[in-house]
Parts: sequence; structure tokens; C-alpha cells
Amino acid sequence: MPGTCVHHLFEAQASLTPDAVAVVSDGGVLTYRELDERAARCAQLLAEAGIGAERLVAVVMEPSPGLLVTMLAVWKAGGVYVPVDPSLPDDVAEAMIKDIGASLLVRDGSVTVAPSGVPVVDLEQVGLSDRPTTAPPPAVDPSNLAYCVFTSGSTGKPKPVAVTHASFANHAVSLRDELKLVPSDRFLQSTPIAFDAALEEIMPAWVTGAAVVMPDQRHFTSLEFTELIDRLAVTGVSLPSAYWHQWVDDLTSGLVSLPASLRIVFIGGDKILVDKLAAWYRIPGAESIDWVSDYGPTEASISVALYRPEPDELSGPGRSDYALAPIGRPFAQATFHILDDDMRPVPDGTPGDIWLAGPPLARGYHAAPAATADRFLPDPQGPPGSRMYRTGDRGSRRSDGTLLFLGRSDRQVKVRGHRVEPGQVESAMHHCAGVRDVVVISVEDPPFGSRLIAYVEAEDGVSEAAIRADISGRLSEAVVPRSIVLLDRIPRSPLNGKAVRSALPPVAPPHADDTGRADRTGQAGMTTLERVVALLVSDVLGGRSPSRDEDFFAAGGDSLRGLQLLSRVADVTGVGLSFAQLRMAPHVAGVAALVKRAHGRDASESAVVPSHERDDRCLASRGQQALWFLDRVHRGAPTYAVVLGYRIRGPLDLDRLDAALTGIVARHEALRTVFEEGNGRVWQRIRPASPVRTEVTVAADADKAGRLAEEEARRPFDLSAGPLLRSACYRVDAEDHLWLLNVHHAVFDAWSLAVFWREFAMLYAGRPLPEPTIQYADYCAWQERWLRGAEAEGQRDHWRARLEGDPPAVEPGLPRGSGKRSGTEGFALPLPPEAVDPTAVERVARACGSTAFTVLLAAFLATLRRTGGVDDVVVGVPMAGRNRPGTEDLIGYLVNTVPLRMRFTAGMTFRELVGRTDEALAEALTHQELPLADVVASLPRRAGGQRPLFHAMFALQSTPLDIEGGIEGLDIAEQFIHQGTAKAALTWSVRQHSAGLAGEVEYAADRFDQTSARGWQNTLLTLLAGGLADPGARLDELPVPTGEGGSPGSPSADQ
Amino acid sequence: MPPGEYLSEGDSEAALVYDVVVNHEEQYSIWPVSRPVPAGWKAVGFRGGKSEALDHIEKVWTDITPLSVRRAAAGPPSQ
Repeated sequence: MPGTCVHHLFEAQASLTPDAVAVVSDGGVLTYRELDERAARCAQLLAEAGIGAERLVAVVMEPSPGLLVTMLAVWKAGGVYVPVDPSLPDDVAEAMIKDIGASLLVRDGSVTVAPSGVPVVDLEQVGLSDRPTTAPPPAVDPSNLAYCVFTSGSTGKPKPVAVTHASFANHAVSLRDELKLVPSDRFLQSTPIAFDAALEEIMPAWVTGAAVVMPDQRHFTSLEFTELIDRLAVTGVSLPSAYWHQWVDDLTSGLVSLPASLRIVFIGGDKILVDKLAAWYRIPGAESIDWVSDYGPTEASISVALYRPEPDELSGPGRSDYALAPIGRPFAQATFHILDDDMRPVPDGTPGDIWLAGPPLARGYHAAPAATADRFLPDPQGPPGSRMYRTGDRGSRRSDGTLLFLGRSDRQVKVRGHRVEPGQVESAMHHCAGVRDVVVISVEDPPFGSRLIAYVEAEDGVSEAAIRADISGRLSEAVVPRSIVLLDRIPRSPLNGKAVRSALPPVAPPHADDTGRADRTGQAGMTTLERVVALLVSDVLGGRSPSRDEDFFAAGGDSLRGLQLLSRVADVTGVGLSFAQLRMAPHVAGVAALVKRAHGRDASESAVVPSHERDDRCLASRGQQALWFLDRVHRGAPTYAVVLGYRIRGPLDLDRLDAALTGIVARHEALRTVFEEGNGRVWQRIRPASPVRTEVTVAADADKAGRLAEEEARRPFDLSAGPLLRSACYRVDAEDHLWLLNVHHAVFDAWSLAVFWREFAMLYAGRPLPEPTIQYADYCAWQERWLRGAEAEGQRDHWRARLEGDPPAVEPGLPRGSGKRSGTEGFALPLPPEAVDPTAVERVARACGSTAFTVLLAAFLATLRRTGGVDDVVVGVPMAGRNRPGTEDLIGYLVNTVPLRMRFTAGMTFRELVGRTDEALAEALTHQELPLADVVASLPRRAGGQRPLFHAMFALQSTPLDIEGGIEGLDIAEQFIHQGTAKAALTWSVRQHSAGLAGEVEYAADRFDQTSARGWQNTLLTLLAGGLADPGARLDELPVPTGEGGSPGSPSADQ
Repeated sequence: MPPGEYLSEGDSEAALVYDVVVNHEEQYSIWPVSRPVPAGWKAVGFRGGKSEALDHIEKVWTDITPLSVRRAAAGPPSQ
């Protein structure tokens, strides 16, 4: 009923349901009666200050129930509500309030904004309780203004949009009906209060008799957000799309689960990725939630179109080609015109400019006639004298009436929810000291939206930092360009003086100019946990390595990236930190310290804890048991040796080396463990500590040293006799050694190696280490407990579901020799140094919102599919298994290989594959503890009896190592030494080095010879290069070398 | 250099000639002279490039409040 003002609608509801809850906050609730009475008292105060129809009241308050009272009071007094972001700098807010011609400013709490010439009411200072609750209603009409909202806080001159009661009331009632709100609903208010979308979370609830939930906290991690919904029984939320994308990731990975109370998810129509939408509908429980996205510029009251996905749009033949969700269908009596350049309607399916008309239209830009006339034009299609608004968006209408979004038609861009004209940013930057010329452009940075880059021509001696400091005082933080690039001269056309975009230097991601100074010494001082956090930070910042104390936000992090970081930290460490905590300690050292403290507190059953009574014999871990049996099958082949070769130049002191090794073996029980079978089980027996002695052999030259080391590496271990750590050294001369460290996998893994090197460097230097508190046997005890618990049961269910339908285990290569898989002999081919372009990998990873490893794994999966000729591929992916508190500093075999399955779909592109791989990896990460043997045991018995789940493995060795520079005076470099065995038909191991990507593929000799192995590797690298060059290409269209797997090979013989 | 190479757009629009038009609510706007003025609007007699037309509007349209709302605020209609 658009014939009424919004506060009339509220008052009608309050008299209908006076005792219903209107506001829920951390501090308690307000009923409709209480809210109405408080607002009436406050309205008295405003009326006394001269507020009436068309008078603007600036409200600068933190979001709170008090703010809602004030908002309602402004309307009751007949005035116009003008919310101003309380986090703006005082002078910016004051200029806005003065410019718009506010009659009054209402503020509270810590807000100190005080524009000269504008009277101020500080609600902290005035009492409202003695004021009457009834007063003569002001003369206000639906055609009067209800609110005025600024389109962006980007510069000193944002545009204030003036909206009438008629438009606003029409919207509130329409949205109530559209979302089928009921009095029992509780809608969360979480949008920043100065956006018009915040009103969308309030008014529709109030014209229903439902409650508005007003939390104190404003930045939520997924964990906090989910917890808040649960705690306050929220039924409806409205989220910006980027935040929702993150939430979908976290729901998919199992980090959080859908709260039971939730029934409406409303997405602020920014850019919604269709992929995420598809992922959303795979989340259990999501199908019963009403998912709606909206479209609406501020100039047309809040939202004018809604979109609800139809089943066939997400999959199958009807699937949209667009990576973004449609705008949807008009609502709230809005009319959409799609017009050509001459403002004539275009046929369905033809792109055009989107114009809006109808009751939702704003009156215009407050006190800005020319700006209003520029965007609000006569509407030839509407009633006589009516207007239409030029949105600046491009779109088209499908034959079914659904509207599609096709981008912006002018330079206006949206940066983190703020609408920005690069021209406005340019003009602000022109005012910075020393800036001669500037061009600002925007680039797409999925999934975070657009990012601004400023090219600046500056006077000599003016630094990027100085400009950045200057501009920060002139623009709100959100629209300060992420990158500021100094140029000698901005390329401009001699014809018309306009900047030539193609002549601007290639757009470097914000981290690229910093990578050169990434500080290795800063890395070297970090603990293992800090390195892990640093790795996550670098992931989130797109590859840029942070130093230990570097401010995350100064380094390019924003709140969305911050929340993403917290999700990853939670994934990896199991510790959920709040955004406020990150704000307080926004650096690697701070986050690591918080995680460590949380681990210390959290000594519950989820943690690995020292046990006090233990004898020197205990049950082997599940992984160790598996290795024991494999070792028996392989008859002592060194398949599961972890062979490490280091070329050491400089005065290596072998006595100190032995002393350090002896110290490490004494510290870590795992390294002095042997195994035995008894009562049908495998046991580990811990030996007393004894000295380690490195066997020294003199070698004629480095080549000879390498050959001797390879020979030594082939010598098997005896798991029941030990020792399981061996050290040999090949001496070329006094300053040149090849050190071979060989440790059996049953007591060691990649993460252990990081622990090993940190401790080794300390002990070699003669420095003390704190006593370890946890030993591997404690982990085994924890694992036995855990396997009996509910979480393990959940993971069994998870893997059973994932591996349902008996995926074909296609074995790469062709049978050679006897054709019988003995599973031991193998060889490795290193990746040629230039085979993979790390910047291309990084670029595609960023573009897909993913990581370099995911992109590589995707290429690996694609190659297995192509060479195997199947659309269902399972790959073994080792997971560190270090996400339990207490395991961080442990040496031992904790790594667990999970069967990662990829089911390819027809027409899948490389980009889609990366996205799906990302999801699969995230899922695997959260279900990584269930030992592989238990995964296999939980599956239904398969036809053909026992056979491996996978024949190919992909190892992401992301554990940071600091061998280089690890020991003073010694130059230590890794030297690849292979023991001549293979764990699977093929295994691709990749490591991230300071120099880029390194790795090798290990092949089983009974499936590959050197030629076919090179062919396979060639196919892998060609497919990867093709995917990197064109991520949008269909997998089937990616080139492969001719004659090498271009046509599907026959599935392997033993299937 | 092709036109798409330049950062600024809207060149074609800037070259158009507009009428300044007004409706029954004394709301002003601009309309290309090449198209018939839509029903309910009339040209005020000022014609020029986009920025001239908008400059003119900035001078003559001093209050964007629609006429009916201004009248209501001034008191009950006397006629």
C-alpha cells in the first residue's frame, strides 16, 4: 500500500502486535511498543529542533538498537533520514553533512563529528525518558522524502540520492510479500548502515511484525557468522556476494554447517558466480532455503529485480553461459527498459543499456539539478511526464523475461561494494603533493570484484608511499587504489590527450612489485607455525610472501581477504580466530601466537596430549601398520625410504653433524623406533637413545659422489632391526660434500623434514632446544581414541559417499615385462627447470580464486583423464595431518594419503576443473585424518577383490624449508637422489622454491620406460600450458602432443 | 588508434545536441533533438551540447522537489 509513509506502516504494525519483538540485540530485545514509544520521545526532541517534512537529519551512529530508534524518530518527526558511515574521517563526514544541507546532526557514543553551522544532538547527553510519547503528527506525505543515501563515499563529492516515502514503503511491502516474511522471522542487520541495503534488512521485517537482529559485531568470519545465526535464531540474512562466496567455500569444506534456523538467504546483487551457486545447492539443507539475489541501484529504492535460480540453470542443457548470475525479474512495480544508443527498445536477447522506471525511482540527486537531469530522462514508454533512470549497466532480456547483467557501460566501477568513478579518484589524486598527472583504471580481480590501479607521473623524489599517505586522507580506504605505479610519463594520445590504455605497463598484481624484496632473512627467523601462517597469508595475498611482522592490511589485505585468511587458518590449524583478533594482531607473528595460545587452551580430546604412563612398546599407528605390511609385500625394497641429498660446500664439521643428528634422534622417539608383530598386531618398540655416526666415503668427484649416494639409497631398511635413520657422507674435498640423509617413511614425512631442519640447524650451531612435550606414541594414542569417535565415523561416511559407485582405478602406462605389478622398481624424471611458468600458474590461480598447487593438480587430473580415456579419476594426495593441536613440532609419520576423486563433466573447461579441484581439495583437507586403510575398509566389498583405489599420486610439498642459509658458513643445496623404486604407477611431486616450481615424476618401471615416461610428462606439460594460456578452453580442446595420449589409451589391462 | 583504446568514453553522446525539457512537476531533463519529445514533456527553448544543456538546467532548476510537493508544503492550494 504505497499510499502511506513508512512510519505509518510501522505504527500500524505496532498497534497490531505491541508485544512482539521488533529488535534483538546482544543487549536484549525491544518490543514494537517499546520501540514505538522511544522513537516517539526522540521524535519530540527532533520536532523541537525544527525537523519537519523535507528536512534532512544526518545520523552518525554505530549500528545499534539506539540507531534504529533514531531512524524511526526522524520519520515520525516528518524528517529525512541521512545515514552517515561512522567510520569515515571526521572532516570527510563533516563536509558531506554540510554539502547535503542537513538541518540537524544526531550522534552518540564516541562519535565526534561536528560540522560547523549544523546543530548537533548528542543522544548520550540528552534524556528522552521524560518526554511525552504522543504528539500531533507532522504534515508529511508519501511524496515527501524518507531518506537520502550517498552513492559512494569515494571522494569529497559523493552523490546523495533522495528517495520518497512512497518508493520506500512500496519496496518494504513488496519485499515482505516476495520473501513471504512471517511474524516469527528474525532478519539479521549486517550491511554497513550507510548503504541503502541496510534498510532492506529492517523495514520489510517491521511491516511484517518480525524482528530485526542487530548484533554489536560487524565483521564476521564464517565461523562467527554461523555461530551468530545459531545463537540469535536468525531466519533471514542478507549478504554481499563476495562474503557469500566465502561462506559457500567454508560450508562446502565442512568448516561450518548451515544453521537450522535459517530459511532466507538474500544476496546483494553484486557479482554472483554461477559456480558458487551450483556449489551452494550441493550443500545439504541448502535446497530448503529460499535463495534470492537482488539488483538495484541506489537511485531506485534499494532493489528492483530479484533472481531465484531455476534448477536447469545450474546444470544440464539450460545452464547459463554467463559466469555471473542473472539480474532476474523486475519486482516492486519496477519497469526495466533495455535501450540502444538512441534510447529505443532493443529486441529480446540483444544487449543494451539498462534504464529503470516506475514507483521505485528516486526523486533525484539531492540539491544537484544537473546531475539529476543527466541521469533521469523523459520516459517515452511510460505515462506522460514520467522519467526513467540510466543505470549505466549493460544488460539484455531473455525471452522468458529474465534480465541478464552484461557489465558496466561507462567507467564507473564497483570496488568492494563502493561505486567508484575512476575520474573522481583521479581528481582526488591530482591534489596530492608532487603529482603531475594521473590515470586510474580498474581491473577485474575475481572473486573480489574490481581493483583500482593508479598510474602516476610525479615530481622527482616523490615516492609511492608519500602519495599513498597523502591520498589516504582524501579518499575512503575502500577506494584508495590498490596499486600505485610511478611512470616517467603517462602515455597520452597526441590527438586528443586521452591516456592510451594499451600503452600503460602491464597490470601487475599488487604483490608483484614486492616479491623482489621478499625477505628471506625474515622467513628464516620464523617458527614452523609462523611459516605455515605466512604461507596462508601469501596464498590470500596472491603469492606475495609477508615478513613476520608485516601488517596484513598494509600489505594489500582487506576485510574480505582477512576473512578468507581466517578461514584458511581455521582449516589448517583447527583454530577459529575472530576478525577483531586479526585487527589487533594483523601479522604473521600475531596470528601464529593466537593460534598457539588457542592450542594451549584447547587440550581437549581433539588435541594430541602427552600421556604419562607409557611403556617402551605401544601399538603402531594406522599408517605405520600399513607400511609394515607393504614392506613385507615388497620384500624390503626401499620404496618407502625418504631419501634426501644435500650438496654442502664449505667447511662441514662432521663431528658437529653427528652430534646434531644424535641430539635429534634423542629428542624424537620416532627416530629410534623399530617394529614387531605380536598378537596379530603391529607394535612399535622405542629404543634407548644412542649416538648416530655418519659413514664417510671419499669420492673422486661430484658425479661419483652422486652415483655412490644412489647406490646407498637403494639399500633397504630393516623395520624390525633399525636404525630407521641413516646418514652417509661423500667427500669430494674438504669443502665439498654430498650428504645423504635417509629416513624410513614409517617414522618421517615432509612436515617432519621441516622440523628436522629447524632443529638440526640449531643443534649444529651448538644452541639449546626446549625439551619436546609430545612424542609420536602420544599421537598414536590420540589416533586410537579418535578412530572410535564420532568425527571418524563422519569421515568414514564422507569417504564412502565420495567413492560411491566403485570408481575405475585406471593405471597409467602399459604393462611391461611380465606385466605383473611387483610395485617396487621405478625411476624419476625431474621436471625441466623451465617446464612450468610459475607466474602463469600464479596468474591463473588468482583468476580462479585458487592456489598454484590446485592449478597443477587440475592439470595432473586432466592428463590422467586424457591418457586414461575415462571421465572418473581418483588420485592419491598426501595430506600433512598436522591440523591437530600438539602435532606441530613432532617428527613422525603423520601424513595420510586421501583418495581425491574427480568426476569430469561433458564440456568442462580448465577453469571449471580448477574450481572443482579446489572444492575437492578443501573437502579432503577437512576429512584428512581418516587413515587410508580405514577409508578402504569402510568401502563396500568390491568386485574383483582388493585392488588399489588409485595408481597415481600428487604430492604438494608445501612445507616451507630453509635449507639455504640455514647454517652459517655452509652453502647447502638440495640434490635430487632417487632410490630406484616407485610407490605407484606414477607420482608427481611438486615443491615451491624461492626460484619457482620444482619437482619430478616418479614412474613404475613395470608401466613405463624412459620413452613412454617422457611422452607422458610431455602430455602433462602441454595440457598444463594449454590450460594456462586459455583457462576458458574446454578440456577436450586443449592440445596434446600428437601420438602421445591424444587418443584415449586403452584402460589398463588388469582392470 | 581505435577508439576503444582511449580511457574516456561517451564521445558519441557528447557530440549529440539536446533540448532542455520540463514536465508538469517542473522536473527538468535533457532529450536528444533527433527524437520527438516524449508525451508530458515540453522543450523550454534551450538547445545545446550535453554539458551546455546541463549547465542551463543547473541555473534554472533551483529546487528538484516536484511542484506538487512544494505546493503542499506552502499550504493548502488556494485555487
